[in-house]
Amino acid sequence: MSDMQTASPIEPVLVGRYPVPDGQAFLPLGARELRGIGWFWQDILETARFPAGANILLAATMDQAAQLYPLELAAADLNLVICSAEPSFFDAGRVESILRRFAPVAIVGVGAAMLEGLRAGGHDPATLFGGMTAWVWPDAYDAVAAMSGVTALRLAEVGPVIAVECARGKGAHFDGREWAIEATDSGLSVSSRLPRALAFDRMPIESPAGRVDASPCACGLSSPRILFA
Amino acid sequence: MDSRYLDERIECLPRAELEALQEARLESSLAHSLAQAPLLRETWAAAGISAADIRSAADFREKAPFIDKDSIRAFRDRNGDQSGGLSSARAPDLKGMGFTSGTTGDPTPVPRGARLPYDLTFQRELWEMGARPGDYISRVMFSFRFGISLARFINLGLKPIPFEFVPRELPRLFEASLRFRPTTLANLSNGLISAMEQELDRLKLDSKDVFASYRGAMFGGEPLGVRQRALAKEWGLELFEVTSLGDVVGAMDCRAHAGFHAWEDFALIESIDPEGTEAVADGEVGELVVSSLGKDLTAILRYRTDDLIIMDRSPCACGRTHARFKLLGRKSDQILVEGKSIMPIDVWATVQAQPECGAGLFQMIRPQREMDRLRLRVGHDPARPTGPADALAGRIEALLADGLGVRCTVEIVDDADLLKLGPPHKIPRVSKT
Repeated sequence: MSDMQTASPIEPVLVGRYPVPDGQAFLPLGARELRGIGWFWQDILETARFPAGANILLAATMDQAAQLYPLELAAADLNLVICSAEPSFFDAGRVESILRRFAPVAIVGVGAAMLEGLRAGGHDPATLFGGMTAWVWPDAYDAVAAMSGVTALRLAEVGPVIAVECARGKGAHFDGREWAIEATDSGLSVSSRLPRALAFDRMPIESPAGRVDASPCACGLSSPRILFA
Repeated sequence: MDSRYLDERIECLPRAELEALQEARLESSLAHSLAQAPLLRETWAAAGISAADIRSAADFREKAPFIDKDSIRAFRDRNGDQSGGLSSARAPDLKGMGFTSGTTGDPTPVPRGARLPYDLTFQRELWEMGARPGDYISRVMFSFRFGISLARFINLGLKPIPFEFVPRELPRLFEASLRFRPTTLANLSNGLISAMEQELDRLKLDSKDVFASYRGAMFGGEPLGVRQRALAKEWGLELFEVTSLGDVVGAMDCRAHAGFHAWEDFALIESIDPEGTEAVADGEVGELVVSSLGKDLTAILRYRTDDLIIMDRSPCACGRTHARFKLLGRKSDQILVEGKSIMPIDVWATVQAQPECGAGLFQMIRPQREMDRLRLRVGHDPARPTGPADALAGRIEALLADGLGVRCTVEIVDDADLLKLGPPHKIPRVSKT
């Protein structure tokens, strides 16, 4: 644990992980924090106004649980059906199968490995994703944003914070009640604002780079946004 | 007071009471199952049977028709019904859709609701392994089968530490094991255990220290390899094998390790003549047939699983009264070589005993069920040669000819080539070509 992190007496209910420059660090989460991430996802999904009963393809691996398990909970509360796959090169065949058979309205977790796997299987991602909303990790965003007929929205981990674009696509929202993110000379810094299982005090984040916009979003959410560089 | 069992009364219910409970659940769920599953309605109508004709479990065993994978696929193809006619679930009851491995064709969807019978029986299995509220648990799993779905752990008061089901996560798993001291792990595969051996060596870690806190680890998806069993024992890691009961619930061996315990309050199980419809006695080889006993999103009645088993309904040393079964392999994997039955489990130990073949990767080549010789494709680690590939092939051929009494032809390939054929670290054991 670094000087910018503090353990606390809050018992975790889950130990996830978050990216650090040399790999991954453990991210204990308390019950309140897990619930909060779920509500954050619920707010984001509601901006897209998907019809009740619609399918959403969630491409996630188990280690992404801290940020993406709450999405499963949020979808259930909104009567959306999560169809499960993994974002790996190998599981691209399953992704194609789900897209073909279950016609999801959105896909969450598109990354470069998935795109490569789809192409290796003889599929055109632009055709597969056509008409859908796609939440895309940084390593694939430019490629998906260039696809005609696909609404590409950003999805990013800013250290322990999940940042997600709403349907308006004008910057990635994060939970401003839980986190303070500030711009610094070398990038961003992340601090936690409420008691949590693992607290953060000005943890520097070099990547992804961006600036914070605290003005209200046209989607109606008041949570601040990161405008990525 | 800590009980050995999570649901002691049910898990140790005397057989007569357990069978009475099954009968009550069958009666209360039959109409739901038929309403839920159009394939079941179609199959029962074709057989001229309705729910009103079933007054007892004996009636059910005498009259209820069977379904199998072929009938599910045919219904799917005929009607465009992705569930194969086994579910009519929609939101809001339907919360998610997982998928089977899909080693052949499109993966089969597995609907999930807010509460799964699988969660309830899985918690019994975690408890048997030694997990208790407040414990950390290492959760190593692919997400496509159940979703991320951590409620089954959190609702038992456990604290999951989730990992992707790939070898590159192992350093992080070892770090978590040393730091958080989890008491259980779910799940491992032969491939992951082999990779653990390499990573422990590379990182110069003391395996006994890494696994010191674990009271048990689940292993599933394929038979446990001889080498992997030995490694786990050397590390002080007690493995509990798990399997599926027709995707209704799971089944796991207990600390007595004397066969998989079926959870008979959730599933009615039968052992049926693999080539016919009559029940076979305990101790004989039969095909596992499963019927769901709850009001689930997916309903199956008399589903022929294709799994060959030996059933045992005698009381277990663990105190549980639910039936146990030994799993021999898939009926469709069986090859008859000059009339002799050969299953993948019959060649596994011989292959894995070769130093180059420690990962135990192989395929039986089965263009048809009956053949005049056994043909194998065997994976080897090219970094661990003991001689030329054709010498390895000849050695395996001779050992199998001697041990199984059948002629055999072996093709040697790299392990890496075989691993490309299936989901992470699990390969189809039988191939047509």
